[in-house]
Amino acid sequence: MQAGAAHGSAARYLVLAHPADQTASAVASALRQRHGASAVEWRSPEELVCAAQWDHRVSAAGVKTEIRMGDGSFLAGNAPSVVFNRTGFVDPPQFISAATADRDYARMEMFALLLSWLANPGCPVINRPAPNALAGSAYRPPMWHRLAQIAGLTTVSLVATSSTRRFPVDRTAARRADISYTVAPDTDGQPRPNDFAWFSEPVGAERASILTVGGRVPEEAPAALAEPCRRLAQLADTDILRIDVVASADSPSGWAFTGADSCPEVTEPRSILRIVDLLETVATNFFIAGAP
Amino acid sequence: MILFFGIPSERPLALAIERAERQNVPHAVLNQREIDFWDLSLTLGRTGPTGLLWLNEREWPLSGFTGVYARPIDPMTLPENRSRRSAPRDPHARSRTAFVSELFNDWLDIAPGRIVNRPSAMLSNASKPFQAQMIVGEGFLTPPTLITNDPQRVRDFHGEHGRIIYKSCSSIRSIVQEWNPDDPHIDRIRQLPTQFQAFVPGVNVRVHVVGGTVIPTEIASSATDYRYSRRQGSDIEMRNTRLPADIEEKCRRLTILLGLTFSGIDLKRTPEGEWYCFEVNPSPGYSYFEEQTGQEIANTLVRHLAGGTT
Repeated sequence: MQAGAAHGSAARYLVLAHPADQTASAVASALRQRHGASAVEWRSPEELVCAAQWDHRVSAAGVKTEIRMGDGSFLAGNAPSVVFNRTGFVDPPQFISAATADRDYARMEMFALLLSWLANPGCPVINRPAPNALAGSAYRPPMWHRLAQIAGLTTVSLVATSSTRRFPVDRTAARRADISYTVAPDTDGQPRPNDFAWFSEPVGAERASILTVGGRVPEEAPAALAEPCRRLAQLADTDILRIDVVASADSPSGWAFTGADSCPEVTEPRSILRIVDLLETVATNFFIAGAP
Repeated sequence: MILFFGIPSERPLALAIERAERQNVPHAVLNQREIDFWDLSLTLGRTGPTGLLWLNEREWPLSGFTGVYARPIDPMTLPENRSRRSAPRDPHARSRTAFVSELFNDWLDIAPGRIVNRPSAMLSNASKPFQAQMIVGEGFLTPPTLITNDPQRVRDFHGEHGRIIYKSCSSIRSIVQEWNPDDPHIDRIRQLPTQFQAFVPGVNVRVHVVGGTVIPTEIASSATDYRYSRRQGSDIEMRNTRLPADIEEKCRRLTILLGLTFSGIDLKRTPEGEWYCFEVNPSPGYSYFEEQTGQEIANTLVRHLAGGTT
């Protein structure tokens, strides 16, 4: 897609999200209220995958893409000013009933194409895609912990063991089924004598989340966390990042990092407006500049 | 201490282990097929990762492994994880295999030391056109590429470039094939956008970058995809070569940019002396090249893993 001369008379917002995405819905709704319905185009990953025509070119001269949708129109008039990217897992519908190997191949090929396109669609993308997730960096919890430490956040201690018999964990440690993709099959609800799992140190009930948007943290966030949170978002190369913390007496800031999400569910109206403001600023700057 | 991880009989890993033995470099081998018999713990404390590996009836601190060469395969494809006749693999054992594999990868991503290569750094290869954008950013030429589901665009692209090839655009391996305008199956691309590239004439050069060392191999073959020369009815000959200093430096920089310390870079030198870069392999099967040329790739890799300057 070409910026500059190809632009119409106003900025165009392209929202890429699943139809059930409440955060995208709230953001799109606010943008429509401010800029009119025609300024906002919402497309699902499935619509993109089934686009009538893909033409994605990469060469030493740069990247150029044309996507024609099923109704014959070009995606976002071929000239979006910003992409609000919440593209999740993509499963090409045309391969749903194909053999497993063919379906896996189609998934990986479409992921490869979408990653390449979203990396350079001719306008800013929020969040930028990463090779590990189309909607922005999505690390495994251990990597998030390491990055949080580098950013200056105190982290909750985590322990993993492949054998609680060989490498036992502290009896007070809390089991964390959310950290691994794999959990031990249940055995009638009884703990296994030898188990594998992730655990964390016991944490208190007081929790908080800090949403960094465009390198800014909300004013009400604990002051000692502001700079480390900004640094973490920068390290993860994300414009929008939710950072989860828990009250901790062992931490100089009083809070310890527990996790982060670069495609968070956001419902709080002020947070939605912060995202809308960021999209507007980025779109306007791009639109005025007229070129990437 | 170097840790080698994967299938020890697989040639790239076997060659590296053999070289470590010859160089008397302390090392341990973590056989992926014996995953049921080793254990792992990982602690992410306030000061960084620590952990223990139970291997060969003894406990090894993870901090003792200052270099790791990992070439695992998908754990679910291990023979140990397949059903035997009518007996499926015990679900608990299967889950444990997946858990341990994931945990080991987690450690590789955050461990200090020389890790060849960190799993997260290997992901750029999941999209060849995405990686191509990074390649172009380092100043290399890359073949004009079209990914489309429109047969007419393919015909036009062919008309523009004369000869074009097609291949997968993800990390799934495919045989590079030249596209023929008489192809009766071209309409199949309507189901799934497919990657086409202008054919670049010239000599293939495979470059292995290990730490700071650049080892180029020239490949003489008339096959479209030299990896399948014999299958495509063509001979293949490999020899040691030298790169212009600027190309050598670009290879080093590209490897660093992608977060790798060991890479296999596919280049082509055109008759006009231009250099095209096709892709960077983050887990190169270097033994194929070493065994044909006698180049010291494995020795260099082991020196790098042992902490030496390469």
